[in-house]
Amino acid sequence: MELLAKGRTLTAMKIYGWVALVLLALPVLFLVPISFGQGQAITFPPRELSFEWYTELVDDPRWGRTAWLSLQVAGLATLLATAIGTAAAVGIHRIEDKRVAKVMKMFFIAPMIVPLMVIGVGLYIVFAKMKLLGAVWPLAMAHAIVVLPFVVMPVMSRLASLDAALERASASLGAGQWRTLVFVTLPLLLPAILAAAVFAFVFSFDEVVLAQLLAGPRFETLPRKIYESLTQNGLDKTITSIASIQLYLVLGFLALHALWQRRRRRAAPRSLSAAATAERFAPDTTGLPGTPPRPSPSPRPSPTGPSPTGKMPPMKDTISPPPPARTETQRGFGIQFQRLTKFYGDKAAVAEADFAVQPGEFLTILGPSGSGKTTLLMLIAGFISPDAGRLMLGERDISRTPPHQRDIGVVFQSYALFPHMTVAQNVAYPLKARGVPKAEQARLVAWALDRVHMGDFADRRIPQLSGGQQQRIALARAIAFSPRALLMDEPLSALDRNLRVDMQREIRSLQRELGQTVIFVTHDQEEALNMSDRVAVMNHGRIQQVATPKDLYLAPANSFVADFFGESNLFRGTALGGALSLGGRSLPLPAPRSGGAVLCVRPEVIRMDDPEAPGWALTGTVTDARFLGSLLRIQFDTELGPVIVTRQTDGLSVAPVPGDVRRLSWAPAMSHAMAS
Amino acid sequence: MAQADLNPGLGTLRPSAPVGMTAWDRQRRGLTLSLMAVPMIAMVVLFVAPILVLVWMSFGGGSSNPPLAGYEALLQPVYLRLLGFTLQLAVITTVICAVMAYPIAYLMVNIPSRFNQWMAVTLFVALWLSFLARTFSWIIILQRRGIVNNFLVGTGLTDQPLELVYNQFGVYVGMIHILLPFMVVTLIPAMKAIDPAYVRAALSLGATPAMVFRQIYLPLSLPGLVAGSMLVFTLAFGFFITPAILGGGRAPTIVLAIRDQIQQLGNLQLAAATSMVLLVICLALLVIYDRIAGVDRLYDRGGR
Repeated sequence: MELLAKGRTLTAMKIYGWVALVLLALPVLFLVPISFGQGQAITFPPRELSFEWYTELVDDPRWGRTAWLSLQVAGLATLLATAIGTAAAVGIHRIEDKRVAKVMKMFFIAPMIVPLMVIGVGLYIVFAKMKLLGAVWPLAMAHAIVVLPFVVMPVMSRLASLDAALERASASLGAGQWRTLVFVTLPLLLPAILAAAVFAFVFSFDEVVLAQLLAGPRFETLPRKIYESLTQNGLDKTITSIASIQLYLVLGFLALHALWQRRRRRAAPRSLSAAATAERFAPDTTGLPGTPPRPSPSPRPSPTGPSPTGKMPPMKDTISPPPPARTETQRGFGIQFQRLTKFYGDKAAVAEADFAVQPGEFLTILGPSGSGKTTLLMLIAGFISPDAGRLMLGERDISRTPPHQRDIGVVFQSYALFPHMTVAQNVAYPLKARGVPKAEQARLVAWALDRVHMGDFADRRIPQLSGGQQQRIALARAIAFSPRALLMDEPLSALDRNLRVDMQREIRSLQRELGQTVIFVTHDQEEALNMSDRVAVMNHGRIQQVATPKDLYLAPANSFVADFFGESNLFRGTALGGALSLGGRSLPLPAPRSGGAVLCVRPEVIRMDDPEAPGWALTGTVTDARFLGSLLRIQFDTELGPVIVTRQTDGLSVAPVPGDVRRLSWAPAMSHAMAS
Repeated sequence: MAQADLNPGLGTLRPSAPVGMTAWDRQRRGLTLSLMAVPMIAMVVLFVAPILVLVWMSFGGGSSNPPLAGYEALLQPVYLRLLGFTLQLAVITTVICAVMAYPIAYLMVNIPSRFNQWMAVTLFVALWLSFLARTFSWIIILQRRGIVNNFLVGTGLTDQPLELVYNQFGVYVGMIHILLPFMVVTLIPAMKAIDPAYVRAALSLGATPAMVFRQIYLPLSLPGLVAGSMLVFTLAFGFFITPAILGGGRAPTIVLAIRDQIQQLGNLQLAAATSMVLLVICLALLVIYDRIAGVDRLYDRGGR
């Protein structure tokens, strides 16, 4: 970024910067040497040093009295302003109606915009009528209201920078509104609140206008006394020592802050390297300690009984999803979507989602961004409520249940680990919210951390962990309270490829071990293939198809699924009997049908120059051939438009070059026809 | 496109509860309302009520005075001059602060060097230290036998000490010194929010650094500049300590006039009417500011 100012411009700016710094700092720093000068004369540099102006402060009881009074006023004002301002900031931040929120923001900024004197005159009239002049409480309240915007603004800006997922995480872990506020939101706001409190204190301790108007003749605060002696008695040198003491306090505070920051920074690198080593030995989860996955040959028990939605997609594949193992500790519940619908304005973000997730099943919701999959997830977790339809968890209708009473574990995309708590405190959070006894909490935290191989990390702070480790902790936290189901919102998207594949395996084996029902949201079809029992493909708010990966690939319900789930060649035409006619040609269909149809032919089933090529074979000219590792991808231009063919790079076939001509055909049974 | 396993038998299914507020929404709203209750009461009692009393008082406040006496008195040239000077003071202070603060903020955000830490400490001290102390230090520096005059006379640059304080010049110096840190700390987060990729992109597209600054950087940093100007202007407009002390009676602002109307003339109605003029100007500013930049900007300063 140093690109815009270079050479002489930059030098000039730097010189100006240092001059400005001196101009800002020097006037204040002059006070210190002068305060040590002897005698009434204000001279710089002082001729003889003495402490008389500091001892004067102690000797003259009036200074102590006014200082004590100011301290009382400022302390009280700080307390009031911080408490009220924080409440207002959090409150405004929670207002959902944008217009109301804006009016509130304008309203709470007004005391900053309106000159002190104006508020002061108004309060003077009111307080004079109520005989409240010259007392600590009224002046402190007046200071508090005037400094309120300077509390509300920084606290709100800190709120805006917090991850909204943190509050959601807290709710999904079983905490109600107040618990979330006290244990998550407020601790995270603490730096901003403290800064605001210091500012409020300094402001009130230094305030002259209100102190003049609202204080009676015998009620003298320190700034008022200083002001009076400045304007009436000429230059009182005690002011230099008072200002110097203030300066020492500020510098001392600053030094402490710097020291604290440095200590924190020194602590960080050490733990980071430790995190890196831990990362290396972590993965491979096939041999988990603890309960071994118990194979259950019997059909899986379904607490929901036969699903009322009835029709599961036909499972024509032989590799049915492996029956989930059960343990004593956890047991997933079934989830049924019954025409679940959510509108945003006129647009249905989720339209009539209607399918069932079996207990212990790993179901992936797959869709491009904007397809409504996150909305669906938020509906399941309970952060938004459906406009129509029902959501059943086991036999319970949870459509209107608050998120903290749903008992569904959520792993967020950003992990949403509470940064102010240790790993163990994070994992214990849902247990605490449920009032689990201390000893049991410790046992369950250890159990959950063991499940994700993070047992040694219990006392770490969250920022000291790597992405993969945070991912594990988020998982441990979501399973610690034996939820009825687990939701995962693209939890692996922030990890690099190798770690992602490891985590996919790990999550899958943990899910089987626990027999947990998992709904996993992703836009990565490879991830969906790797992990799922079944995949629900979503687009434009609608569930397009729910099926096993194999069925999705071999028998896509429509052209969107065919295109989204793997590459495919689609031929649109009119079906009549066993043939599809298009562009003056006719292609064989796998089964007779009629009407508009789309024929889907996967690139790997197309044969090139088959000696037994049928009469309908296409003639293709190679336009592009690319090496993709294990595959060779060849693009043809044919009478029916571009066609893509892939071949294994087994060293047997010779890669064609652009311009080559090939006859293209396939076994009709390997193609798939669907409605257009 | 049909759903995969749509079951027509579900047509009769209705949501289990009437659509509207769920328990979650109610709990959310409950907490929001209870959080807002005390601040709203405090604002109404301590801010709105006094201002309403002020309005009532400016129209006579139940006394025998004619209701518009206060406002009529304000039409005297002396008050118009006061208002004019106050506005001039606020505008000039704001402009000088903006011009001075922009390079400082730019250096602190974009050029990593030791300057940044020192400036941060200086700004911190300047913001946290009493206005009174800082105003007082300028008297020491600028007065007839102060540091600057001692230096000038001592080196023979001038024969006589210059009049540097207890006049308008002194007020400007003191105001700029006190308000400059506010401008800088408002500009910094606004500049930090500018993605350096924009500048790199513009340079890679062939723009000269001067063009990039004028066409890319400056417009993007403008919201911070507007927010800072708003803050500095309103603070300067209502500032009391510095004009009162460093002005020495020769820089009378409208705020000082209100104080005199109460303490010396004892004319509450006139003071209330004058306050109303200030109030209207300030609230108008708030609305204009909201139109230009959006009041949200003020809440988005990255904290202090």
